[in-house]
Amino acid sequence: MNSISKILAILSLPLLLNACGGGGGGSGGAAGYTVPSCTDSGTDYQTNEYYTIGSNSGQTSNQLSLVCASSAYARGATGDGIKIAVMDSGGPWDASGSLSNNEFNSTASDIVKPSNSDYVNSDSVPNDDNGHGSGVGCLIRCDKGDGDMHGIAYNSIVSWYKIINSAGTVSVNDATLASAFNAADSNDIINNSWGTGSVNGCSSEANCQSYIGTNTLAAMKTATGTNGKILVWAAGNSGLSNPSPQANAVVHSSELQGLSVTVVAINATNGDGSGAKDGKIWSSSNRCGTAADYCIAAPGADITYVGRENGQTFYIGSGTSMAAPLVSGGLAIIKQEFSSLTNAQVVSRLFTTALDTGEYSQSSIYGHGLMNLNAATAAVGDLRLLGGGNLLDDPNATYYNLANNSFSSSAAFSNALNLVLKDQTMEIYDSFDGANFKTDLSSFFTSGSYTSQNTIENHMLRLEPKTTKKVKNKNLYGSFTVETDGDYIESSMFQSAGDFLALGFNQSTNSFENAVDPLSNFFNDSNFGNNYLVNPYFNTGSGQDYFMSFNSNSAFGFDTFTNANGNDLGLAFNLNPLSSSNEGMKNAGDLQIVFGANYEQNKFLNSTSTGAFATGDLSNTNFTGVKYKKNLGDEFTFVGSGFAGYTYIDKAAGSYIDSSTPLLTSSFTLGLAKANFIKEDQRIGFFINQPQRVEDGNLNLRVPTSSDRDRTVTYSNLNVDLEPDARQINFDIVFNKTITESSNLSANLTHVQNGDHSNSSNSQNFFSLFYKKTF
Amino acid sequence: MQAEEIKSENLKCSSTTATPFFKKNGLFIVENSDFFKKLKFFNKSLSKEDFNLIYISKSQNSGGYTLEVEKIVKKKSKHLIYFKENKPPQGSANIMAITATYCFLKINNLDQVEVFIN
Repeated sequence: MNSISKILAILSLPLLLNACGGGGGGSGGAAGYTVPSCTDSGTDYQTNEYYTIGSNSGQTSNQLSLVCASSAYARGATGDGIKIAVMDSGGPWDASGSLSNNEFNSTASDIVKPSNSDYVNSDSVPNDDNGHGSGVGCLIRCDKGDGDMHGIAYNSIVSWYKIINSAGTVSVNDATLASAFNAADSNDIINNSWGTGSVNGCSSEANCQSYIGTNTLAAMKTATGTNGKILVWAAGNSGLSNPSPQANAVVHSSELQGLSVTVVAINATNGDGSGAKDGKIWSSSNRCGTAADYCIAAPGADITYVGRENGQTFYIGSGTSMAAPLVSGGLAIIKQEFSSLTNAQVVSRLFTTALDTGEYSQSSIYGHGLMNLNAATAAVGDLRLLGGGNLLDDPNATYYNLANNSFSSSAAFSNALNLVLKDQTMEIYDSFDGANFKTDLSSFFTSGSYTSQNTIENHMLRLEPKTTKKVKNKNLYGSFTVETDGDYIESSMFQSAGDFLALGFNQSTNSFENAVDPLSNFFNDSNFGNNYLVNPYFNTGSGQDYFMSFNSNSAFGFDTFTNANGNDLGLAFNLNPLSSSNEGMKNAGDLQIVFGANYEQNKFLNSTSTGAFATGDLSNTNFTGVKYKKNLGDEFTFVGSGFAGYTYIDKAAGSYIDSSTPLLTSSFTLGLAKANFIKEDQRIGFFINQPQRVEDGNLNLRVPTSSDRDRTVTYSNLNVDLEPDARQINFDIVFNKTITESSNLSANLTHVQNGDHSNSSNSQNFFSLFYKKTF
Repeated sequence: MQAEEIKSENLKCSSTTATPFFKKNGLFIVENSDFFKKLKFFNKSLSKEDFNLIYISKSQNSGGYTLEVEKIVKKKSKHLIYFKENKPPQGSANIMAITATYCFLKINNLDQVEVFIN
């Protein structure tokens, strides 16, 4: 039925009709629901271009902030390299094929007009004589950085396939449209802001096909089911309870399911300040309806974009046409961010992370809810490390939760390790879908440090004169000695009759360490790299080391060693070719030659590690050392010691610590002490000491650094030369004065050069003074 | 009363998805305060020498609509302009944006205008 409207205009008194607005209808979201919003956290990316429609307008548009796109940008996800096909009325070219829109100039290679892509006019220039296709493409990837608006996936690659004529109607037949789909299939995502939107869904595959076309539906199914591409469909603008047949076909065609996305439109805030602005369903948008499981919402009403004309003319438009490209761009962002995801997983992540509370919990309207690119580019499940395998979906793959992976390195090589780990990244994976996240490799490592123990407290403890209470009990089998310092046991020892067997705690069994008079009585060894005569391979620094020594007279003996955790087992042979206690050797000094081996369970050189960085059950260090002490006259004592060892790291199955060469380590101390320094009751000592350091050796870290859509993981080798770039040397002067029987004064001056074997360390100087009076 | 022909360069009919353009619709002539705003919406270089009458139809829920001038009749000092808006074919697939059709016209000796839309 034709109706005739009559409009009368007289030049001086025009009579105008007012627009009726969006048309359509249907109810919006139900009253009583709150409208939630996502957290748009990428503040550095919230530029004028992000919000505005041009420098002249000063008006803001929230189509990007409503879906929290800036959070994704801040993570580096901009759709870079992801190919999106726009099946529409053409793109930003004039009839000669020249770009005719300033908003697409920045990267011409990303603005693609494929050969023979104008299916309306059968040529290779899909010029847009309607304007819709350019606008849709603009919403995806209008340039960023030119001062006005940018698209949601501004680094994606967009190709246009012209199937719509200047009037806005799909004007190609079924077979041609199918050909266009087949051609667009070379892209990752195919955006469709068109359809039979006035039809309220479809009831079966055959019914859907009657609207879509036999060949076209087959091509759609090939794109998804066979080739795994993503189709994005605008739901339609008739305010109906179901989407258009094209967008609803996914309900009835299993080949489309999981890869066909239906998009409904919500109200945004437009550039001229009008519009509903409430974030609810746009009144004219078709609802998700029966396609709710395959449907999502995005801003679509009062959307800002650039039209086809040159000169950056900004338009404000409404339609599910505008919502669909925002979702296509969102999918590109997710796909770029996670190279390990299949397209089906990209869609699944889009749906799972949608904002689905309050207003958006109404699935018949919003499907999965409002697209949320902050959540979509963040972890959904627990982040975890893959334990050495190459296949993310291998049912036998080992995963370690993020918190259960660590490597605590010895200061003997932590400097070298830190230098190599700097700026290195590796992949970890989301337990939800195996999405790959980058993380700093160094975040799993903590560095052992000698200098960090150079605290005031430790210096004071060191200077505190020994007030050890010694309890000694002797019986038929030997003597029992317990030395205490304050409230805890400093060391204890059982010495068998005849000195054959000694059992001890904290190296107390080794008589050599106990016999460095005049030093041992007036200061304590410390753990900050100044353990002068201690075997470094038998010292965990925990303060809970246990020894059992067997001595066969003073000529030789051997020590066994373990620690409180029981993950050390050591054996050392001690040869004493020179002993001042032997008749005739008093002037030769005391010489002890040590050689032995230490076995460490799940650690090496006291470097502990867990999870994907674990080491094997039995790392082994073979070592040798020499200790020498000689009294020079009655007042001087010279001490010296040096140790070297080779450590063989035991590889654990699947560990990122993949292989290593033997690690050669060294340490040494030289010292001279004088009793009766100036006065009879004063002593002084000077020491030069190098804490344990790796001299040679490499460790190969093999960590996952990339993963592909076929769910395979690629590892990269990081060969670490563990020799630090400098050598720490400690210079120590220690002074002690006995003032009275109950009072004592100690002083210590320490200079540390190249702390922790690093040439970037500042020299450290400490001066400590300690006075103690006992009442 | 006689029918008046209009040259093709004096007539431009199209459709648009730009809602600010058709937020106010209907007939616009040079003396109307919104005329130049509408005239320059798509092309800032246009002037009243190019077109002196704009007709914008009411918005539709999809694309596929076209507007054409059926005839222009001069009746004394009044121009009677007959527009015809064509709907998209039944069951056709169209762009999913709110659209409106419009025509820019240049009519010589324009005095009074009466517009009919079918």
